[in-house]
Amino acid sequence: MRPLAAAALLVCLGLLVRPAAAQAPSFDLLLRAAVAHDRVAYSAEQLVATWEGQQPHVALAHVQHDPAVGTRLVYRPLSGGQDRQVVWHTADRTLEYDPHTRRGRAYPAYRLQVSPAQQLAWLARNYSVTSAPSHLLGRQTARLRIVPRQPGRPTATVHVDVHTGLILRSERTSADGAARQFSSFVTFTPRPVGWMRSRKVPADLQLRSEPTPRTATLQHLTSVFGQRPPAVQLPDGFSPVTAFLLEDRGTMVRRAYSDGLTTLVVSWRPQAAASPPAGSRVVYRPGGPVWVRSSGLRQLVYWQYAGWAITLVAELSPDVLLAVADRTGIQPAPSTLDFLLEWLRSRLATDSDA
Amino acid sequence: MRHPQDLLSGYVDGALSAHEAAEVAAHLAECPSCRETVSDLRALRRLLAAVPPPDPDPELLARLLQVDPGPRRHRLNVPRWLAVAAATALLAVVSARVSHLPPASGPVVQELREHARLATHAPLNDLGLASFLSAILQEPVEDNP
Repeated sequence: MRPLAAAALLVCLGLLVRPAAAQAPSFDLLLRAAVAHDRVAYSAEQLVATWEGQQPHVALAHVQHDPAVGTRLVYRPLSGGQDRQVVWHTADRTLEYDPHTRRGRAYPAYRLQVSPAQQLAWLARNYSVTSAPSHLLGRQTARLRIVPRQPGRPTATVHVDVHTGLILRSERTSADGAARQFSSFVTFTPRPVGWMRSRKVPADLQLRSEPTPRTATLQHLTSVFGQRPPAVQLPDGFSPVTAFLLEDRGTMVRRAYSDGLTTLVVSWRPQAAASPPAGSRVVYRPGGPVWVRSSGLRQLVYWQYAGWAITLVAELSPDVLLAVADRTGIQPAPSTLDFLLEWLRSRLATDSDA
Repeated sequence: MRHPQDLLSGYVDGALSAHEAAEVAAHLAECPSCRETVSDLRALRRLLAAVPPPDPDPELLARLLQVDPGPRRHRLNVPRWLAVAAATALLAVVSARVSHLPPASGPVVQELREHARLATHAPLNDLGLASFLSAILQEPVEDNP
């Protein structure tokens, strides 16, 4: 994005969310942080860590960013069990590959239907934000503490570089404090925009291209599946950021939602083409069984309803997601009697055909 | 030590305490008579082990079945068809209560990776961390569901 356009965008965003700024003095800085990647070029070393239960995944990332080209990240694992990974983000796709085997995947970039300003307005509504001056890497930063107004959501702390608007340190903790994610720049060097124009994606990569999801209307989904996916009764404060996306050659519908800080992804599959997530545990709710799987800060919840299998993934507590399943509706697990009756029906149908 | 006649059988069976077994062993080293007794006991033990168990009397089962169980108490005179119907109904009720859960074998990595990819667009999300959350979810490309 050109500097003039970026400045104009900042002005517009500031006008859009001026009422929220009165409630949260640091909101202007949040706006600058939200669009900093469109304006600032840099190289950096960044420490990233996430915890899966007691198992930490830690890596040192070499980051090269140029708004005119994209972002290249090389992850060197500092904890065991991981290989070095390279991730390239460009305007239209993301590449993930092992630099040694040269194999990996290529994903089309998602396009969100909402602006950063809109998402920050949701953030102001769902979280309280306080700011305090701080210093990091010899730079003046603002330490923003983002606390949820509703239970079951994570708490975040970000250090925003006052000069560039970049987030130099970020920490996110689950509602119960048991899971967390952390990232922090350990070196930071501003670069001129355009400094990565000579960088090319290697030509010898063997990348499997993931299919591009197609935007679909409810009418389209009904025509594909014969029925529309059931509405999921989401927690308060979540709004859609993508349209319905028809993926994997039409076997799945996906949609993402945001409360301004966290992302919630809902996937619908026809029940006959789905099974509960591997490694999950069953939780019996009044309506029927729900499967839960934790992955650090993220929780994955799966259940079946009205002929569909529904999967939620979000950085919310399991209780919040289980309540979503309760409100939406849960299909009871079939009993032995159901199997017996189905077998009898099939036998009767066979006999009548004969 | 006098001849430990009362301990020799236990010595052969390994039933003595460590102290007693040590004393008997020391005595056997010096006493040919007791050594001969121990040798006889071991031979007898081997012989007994080789004897097959006797077959039961072929008439035993018939005799057992003829035993009078005595007067029956609280015997209900229920028609057979009613018993079958009640058993079927009970089976149906129990079956209706026993649920069958599908096996948990669905995709996890794919779901988590898509969440990480969509979360990279959140305004305050750290790109390096969000990309890491996707990149560490490794699985063989061929096995990706």
